[in-house]
Amino acid sequence: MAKKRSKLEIIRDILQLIKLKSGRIKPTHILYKSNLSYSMMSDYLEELISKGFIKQINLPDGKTRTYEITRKGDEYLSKYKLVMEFTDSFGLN
Amino acid sequence: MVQLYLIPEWFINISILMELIITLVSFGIAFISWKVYKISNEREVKFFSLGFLSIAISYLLWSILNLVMLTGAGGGISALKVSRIQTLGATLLVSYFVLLIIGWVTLNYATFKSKGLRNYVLLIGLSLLTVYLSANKAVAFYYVSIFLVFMMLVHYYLEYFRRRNVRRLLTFISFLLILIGRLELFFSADSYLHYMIGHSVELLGYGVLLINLLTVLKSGQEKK
Repeated sequence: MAKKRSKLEIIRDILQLIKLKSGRIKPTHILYKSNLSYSMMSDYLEELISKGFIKQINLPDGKTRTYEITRKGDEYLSKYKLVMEFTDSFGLN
Repeated sequence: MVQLYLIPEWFINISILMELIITLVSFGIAFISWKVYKISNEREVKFFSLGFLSIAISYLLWSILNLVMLTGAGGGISALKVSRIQTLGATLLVSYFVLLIIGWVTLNYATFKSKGLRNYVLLIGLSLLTVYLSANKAVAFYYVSIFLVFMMLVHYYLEYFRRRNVRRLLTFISFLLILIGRLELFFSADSYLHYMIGHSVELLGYGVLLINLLTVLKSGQEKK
């Protein structure tokens, strides 16, 4: 059985998904690829927006929304190893 | 009159230097933790940084206190006695007590799973009130600070046994050394030897913590 992901790992996975889609992705695509339930995905997306890692873009049709990674989100991905090692070493995860 | 601790006069400058080193180490840990917080935006990391910042300032105040307030007790020994402390000394001492306790409470809170700020305020309030309302504030301060460090040690003990690796072991060892240092300082009102040993062991504990942090930084910046 696969090991349960930590919160930081899930955040990384979602940001990587968005980055792979050239920085813009629809929620359904995240849902299929992230291996999360709809409610968990919504909670994480809310958290990522509040942390400034992603931003929500509402398309002109008024119905569709996409998510775009921000520079802060990019920085998180590039320094993910440091964050993980720090929080793991000091029991903060 | 309450005697906080005894120090041999030849050790005073060494003691002040040790306190300044611990101040710098704690500031360093706080600074690096803050940088990690700016990347991750994780609440726990923010409180970890603030905890060490508070500890850093408390040690700085302690070094200033030792610099200005130690009086000769005869036989080459100096003592810090509460009854003799003038206004400046009293302010420094109270600030040292308060900031060190806030620092350790904050570190404990950073490791809690519960996110309620009320818990944090409750912990700080209870810890400070325990010292304030006690007849012997020095003893109460030592009891409270030792207990808070002990709770951190328990956390890191459990973390190490949950998943064993060298860094978690180093973190556990550093807090163990800090706890031993605190315990030794508790007995320093009766013997200067305890002051010397306690201070040295505490410094070693903070040193191990800093080394651990630097190895984390180095490893975290290595490219995959």
